Amino acid sequence: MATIDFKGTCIELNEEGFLVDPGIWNEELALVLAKHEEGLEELTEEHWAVIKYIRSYFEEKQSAPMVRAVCKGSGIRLQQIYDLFPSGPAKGACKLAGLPKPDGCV
Amino acid sequence: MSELDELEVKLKALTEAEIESGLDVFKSKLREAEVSYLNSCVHCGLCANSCHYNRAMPELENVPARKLEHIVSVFKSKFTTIGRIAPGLVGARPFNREMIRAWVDAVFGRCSLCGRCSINCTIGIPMPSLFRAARASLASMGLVPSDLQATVDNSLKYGNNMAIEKEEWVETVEWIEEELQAEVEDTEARLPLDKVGAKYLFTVNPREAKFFPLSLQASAKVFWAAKEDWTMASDAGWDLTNYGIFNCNDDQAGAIISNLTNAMERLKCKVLVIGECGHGYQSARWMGPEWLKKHFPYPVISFLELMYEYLEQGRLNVDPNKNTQLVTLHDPCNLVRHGGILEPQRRILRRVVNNFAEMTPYGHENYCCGGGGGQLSMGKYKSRRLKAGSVKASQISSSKAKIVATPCHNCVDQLMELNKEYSLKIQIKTVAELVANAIV
Amino acid sequence: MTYLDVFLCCLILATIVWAKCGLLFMWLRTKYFGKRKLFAAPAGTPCGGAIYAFTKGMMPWAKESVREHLLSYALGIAYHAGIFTALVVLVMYTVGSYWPAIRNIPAIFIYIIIPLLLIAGAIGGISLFIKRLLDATLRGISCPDDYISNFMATTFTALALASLIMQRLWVSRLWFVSAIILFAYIPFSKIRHCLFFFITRYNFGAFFGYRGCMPPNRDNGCKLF
Repeated sequence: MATIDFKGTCIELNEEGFLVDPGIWNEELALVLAKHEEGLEELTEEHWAVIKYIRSYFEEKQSAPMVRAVCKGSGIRLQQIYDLFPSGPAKGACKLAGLPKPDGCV
Repeated sequence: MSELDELEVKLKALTEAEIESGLDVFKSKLREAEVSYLNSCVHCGLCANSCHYNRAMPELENVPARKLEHIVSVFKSKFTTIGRIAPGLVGARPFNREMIRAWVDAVFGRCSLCGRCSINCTIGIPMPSLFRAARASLASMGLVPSDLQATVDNSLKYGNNMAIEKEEWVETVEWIEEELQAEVEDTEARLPLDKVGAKYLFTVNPREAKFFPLSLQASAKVFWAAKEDWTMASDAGWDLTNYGIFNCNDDQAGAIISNLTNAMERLKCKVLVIGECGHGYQSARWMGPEWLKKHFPYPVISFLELMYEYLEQGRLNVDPNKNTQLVTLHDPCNLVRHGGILEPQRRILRRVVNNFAEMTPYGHENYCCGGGGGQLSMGKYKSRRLKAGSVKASQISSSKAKIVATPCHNCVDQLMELNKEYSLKIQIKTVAELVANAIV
Repeated sequence: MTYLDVFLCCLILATIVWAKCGLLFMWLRTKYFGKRKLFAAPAGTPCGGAIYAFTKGMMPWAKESVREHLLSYALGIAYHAGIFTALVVLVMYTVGSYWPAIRNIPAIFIYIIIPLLLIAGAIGGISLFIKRLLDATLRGISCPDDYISNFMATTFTALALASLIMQRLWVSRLWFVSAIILFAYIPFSKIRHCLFFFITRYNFGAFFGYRGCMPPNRDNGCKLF
């Protein structure tokens, strides 16, 4: 079990770097996760569009959206999502949006 | 509650009766072949470095013979005369909580069921068959790691392992159809759903639908170019994955494989085509008939065989100069060592890329990427999985390839993680993606 | 032959029968679990896989585990060759007393080939024993039986050599005693692999042969069209 330092408090991450408690997510935490987990120093508007869409979907449905819905909802094209998040939509974007790790071959 | 605690809590709650019935389940998985395997290990230790876990992290518990010994010692103590008379002499040990913990660690925590130890075993013990029997026993005691079990439960509940709803799947297929039409500039290009009587029923990995639809688009482009009569199911029966092969609960595995057999009956297709997926192929081609205890009245083939056939028949026009970077091939264990599909993928690649190099070793001797056996879904063992993957990572960097092709989505995901972990600077593609790119 | 030698020969015969019955019992116990009925359509033949498993699949270059441990492989081969030679010599010594004709083999065997095989076997056995003691991994996967089995088989092979070279009655008697102990111990020990090796390797080849995985590298793609 890893932890990261966030404003002086320890945030628990599971073995794969996802938030143990998705409920504590906020935008500042997303920035810390971006640096710690994806090696991204800053998040552009495009990053935020994707992350915010995924987060709002998650808060409504308690699951990760299809990448189809992410493209449609955020206005970002598919290839651009892969470019923005080197670890992909699941282990990159969903992780930064504070979601738990999706099940399956990911 | 952390995963480690989860196991301890479950262990503590086990009753003696449950432990006894767990042993019965183990025994029920054995036939004369497996019992002879349990009588055969001579502890020569030559298997040690055939295992990617031990190669990356040399320690006793990573040696295949040691993992096997945990199982053999229980067999000896329960089912052999000498094991009962003189347990210390032959290393017979009782099936208690401590041993169950060792089983969980050995067969879930340090094994991807890749079978590389079997072919390197002096005797020839197919160890995964025994590790599976142990996993089945642990499954019956509720000791499957929860995230692996959750993936199985998704399939049982939703008909696919990522809990994708029907409308989400259909919408994605329609979207990819539009993308394909735009790509090939043909409004007749289709991803047909539920076409009754189609020749081929094609199946995919849900991660394609959920997160990585470009590989689905590539497969569809191959079908389009070959002018094939094919379809996919809109209801359960489009997902080729079966994590029942990993939790080794044969009833659950059988229920999941029924999604495919039911779709074949419903849609009256002639051939079941398994998309690029190692465990999906082994499940449908080899294990499915055993789980359901029935012959399948139609052939089950890999999409690789079909693509190779198209190339052979001249149904695809390809230009290898479309793929100029050096490509190497990763052989999925379930497809190659356990599936027997070894040649089609390399023959395809030699035709669609102009620069292809094998890894060392390759084919049935290839190393597991580290993500097999359900490892990818067991978060608890992630750090071991990535370290064990260092063997594959160094194989890849020695190959000097810029693109690693692999006909398995599970391997793709592990290779993506290895790419990041070991800064390999490679692209990972399915075979269909390279074929689709070469189509002219 | 003295009464003592006749007695020892009878004991050898009795322990051989005992060992065979023990192995037969274990084999029947295995059979009791029944054959697995297979439903998947085969892609190859169990027989083809089994033939591969016992021939090409056992060559030193066929397996990485051997390529990386050629010395251990050579010692193992030498060890097993030595044990089988010792068994042949044992038959010559015992049965030969009553049926001298079987001792009529070319001198080159008596004076060169057999002693060399026995020396190689003893060296193999001793080396593998030492390797088991020194190598931490091997020690970790070993139980007392591994040491005892090796010790008994190595002693049996070495005493065969000693009997052949020294031609002393007491050495031969000592050798007979080692044979008696060895045979009596077989059903309890890992030496039962003298039977189960063949059963396991057949099943191994048959399993992969059925699936078309063995022999490897054969063209098993596109067989359906």
